[in-house]
Amino acid sequence: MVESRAARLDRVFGAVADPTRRAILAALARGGATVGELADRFPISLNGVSKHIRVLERAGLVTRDIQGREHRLAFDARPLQDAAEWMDRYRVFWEARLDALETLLESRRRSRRRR
Amino acid sequence: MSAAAGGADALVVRRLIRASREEIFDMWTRAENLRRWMRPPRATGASAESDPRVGGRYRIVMHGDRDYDHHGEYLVVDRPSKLSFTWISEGSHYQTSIVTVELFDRGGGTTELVLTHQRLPPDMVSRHEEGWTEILGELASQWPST
Repeated sequence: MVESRAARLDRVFGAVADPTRRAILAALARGGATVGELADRFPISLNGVSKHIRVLERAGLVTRDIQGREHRLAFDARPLQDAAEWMDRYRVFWEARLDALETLLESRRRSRRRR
Repeated sequence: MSAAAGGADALVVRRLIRASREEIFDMWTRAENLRRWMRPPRATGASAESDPRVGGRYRIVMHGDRDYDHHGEYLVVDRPSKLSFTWISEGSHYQTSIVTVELFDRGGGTTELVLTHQRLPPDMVSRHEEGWTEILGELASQWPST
């Protein structure tokens, strides 16, 4: 559904806007880890790391595999492709608009010179 | 601002243009100018309305095989250096994003235009759960209304 896709995209952008969460993602992209292992690597509390991970899970960027007492986390890049598509689409959109803006300014400059 | 650094949350487009900052700024704020360039090449035309003051609104409708609606509210209107507005369009499923246009004098009659299109305002990200209405209301209230 269109509406939920847009909401999902917002969650992805919100999740990656934070530098700590980007660092957690980068760490998980190099290999899966448990919450405890991640907390050891970052200068924030276990609770803090858990909160960030929940945001990343809601965005679909982190998956959790529960094996008994161990929760293994892994990185899932798929939602980022959606975000990249949004950026690509708007990059093309704005580059084309700025082309048109320049053309219009240029034609005005020429007509001023003729006068 | 993370957006200026081109973080993962924002798109940044830069362009060096042979025109003064004032000329370019007015292209973005005056309806009669907007309708001449804010439209895709295939569009048959565009209509535009704008009220370029903080809290004022704009609407651009691009006409083609059908109409494409874009609208939003001005957040910063600082001629000739900075313009910022919310961007709501059918193309992005009516989800609010924020476009900021900054203009820098590069001498010799040229201006560097830096356009930042942000999916989310960075300092609002942590409060995103509160919903867009409150977030944008707060964002708008940070600037004195005229």
